[in-house]
Amino acid sequence: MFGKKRRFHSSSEPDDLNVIPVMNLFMVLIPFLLLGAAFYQVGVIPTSTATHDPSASDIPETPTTVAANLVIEPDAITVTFASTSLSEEELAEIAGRFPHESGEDFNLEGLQRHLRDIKEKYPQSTTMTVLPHDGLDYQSLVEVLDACREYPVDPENPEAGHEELFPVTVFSKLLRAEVEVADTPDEN
Amino acid sequence: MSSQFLKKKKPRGLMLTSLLDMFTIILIFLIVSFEAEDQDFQLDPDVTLPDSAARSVFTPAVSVTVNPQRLIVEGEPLMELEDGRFSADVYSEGEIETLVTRLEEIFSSGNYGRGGEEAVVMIQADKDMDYQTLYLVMRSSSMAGFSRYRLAIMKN
Repeated sequence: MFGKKRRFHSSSEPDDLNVIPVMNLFMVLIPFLLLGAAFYQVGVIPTSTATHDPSASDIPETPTTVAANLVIEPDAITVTFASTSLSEEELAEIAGRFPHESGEDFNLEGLQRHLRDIKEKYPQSTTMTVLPHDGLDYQSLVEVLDACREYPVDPENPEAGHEELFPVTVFSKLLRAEVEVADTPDEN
Repeated sequence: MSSQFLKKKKPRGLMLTSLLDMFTIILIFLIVSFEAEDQDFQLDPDVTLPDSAARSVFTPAVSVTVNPQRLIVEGEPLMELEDGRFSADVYSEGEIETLVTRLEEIFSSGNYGRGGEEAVVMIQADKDMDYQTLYLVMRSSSMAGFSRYRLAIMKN
């Protein structure tokens, strides 16, 4: 009897797995997921504009904080700082001017290095007022913001994360009378 | 004799295993890139967003789009532009009156301000737009009560 059974089993081929219902399920799921798939990644840069409040000041009141002012001119970027605890001489020392490297390319590496040094000295500083010139194109503005808002901990390894520099961005309009920062030394 | 053997053989089914493998890979890819949250974001076809390394998460807000041809608020065309510039009198006025009026309407109809939603404008602007035009849009939004902005960028 057992011999017969064994013979019966050995003669029949194993049945193939019926994958057609799984295929049907996939055929329904794939179009549905295609509709909701994001093939491009849209992000945002949170910003604000300066609001006029006569009773308020943009200078931070904590002694360990400085507020950065970034003037983007057609030929250079100038960064100055404001603080309640530092003298004018000290503020002039930490200011910097970054002329274009070649042609119309910003010296963003130099600017970022400078901001990193300032951030190390005043780690609680977060606010930066940006004053671009009227003709600056949006892409260049975003590149400058990227350099000033954060920096990669390890440029070779993107998964190492980022450190904040001045992530709070406030836009304002450059009035020619305000540009008295040209005396600051050039930095490369 | 050979015909006897052929009769015993079952017809071979279609080999679906490799197709199933491919579908599994596609399915995994699509599940990963699936946006579960309905963000109601419509990228304007005439706008090329600037590339950025910013990693801030996209959150919806009142949409203002400035493409080289027109200014659009919440999908509704509001004003014509010529090569990404408003007419000269708009710049001399220092505000875009129609934009201020439209945003004021949105502000008063929504629950913005204290205890309500944060009054934020999401600006989609073309990467070649000049800062003067961009600032004018931001300034007009600010006049209508929206003083915070999210600049839409394409993550690189």
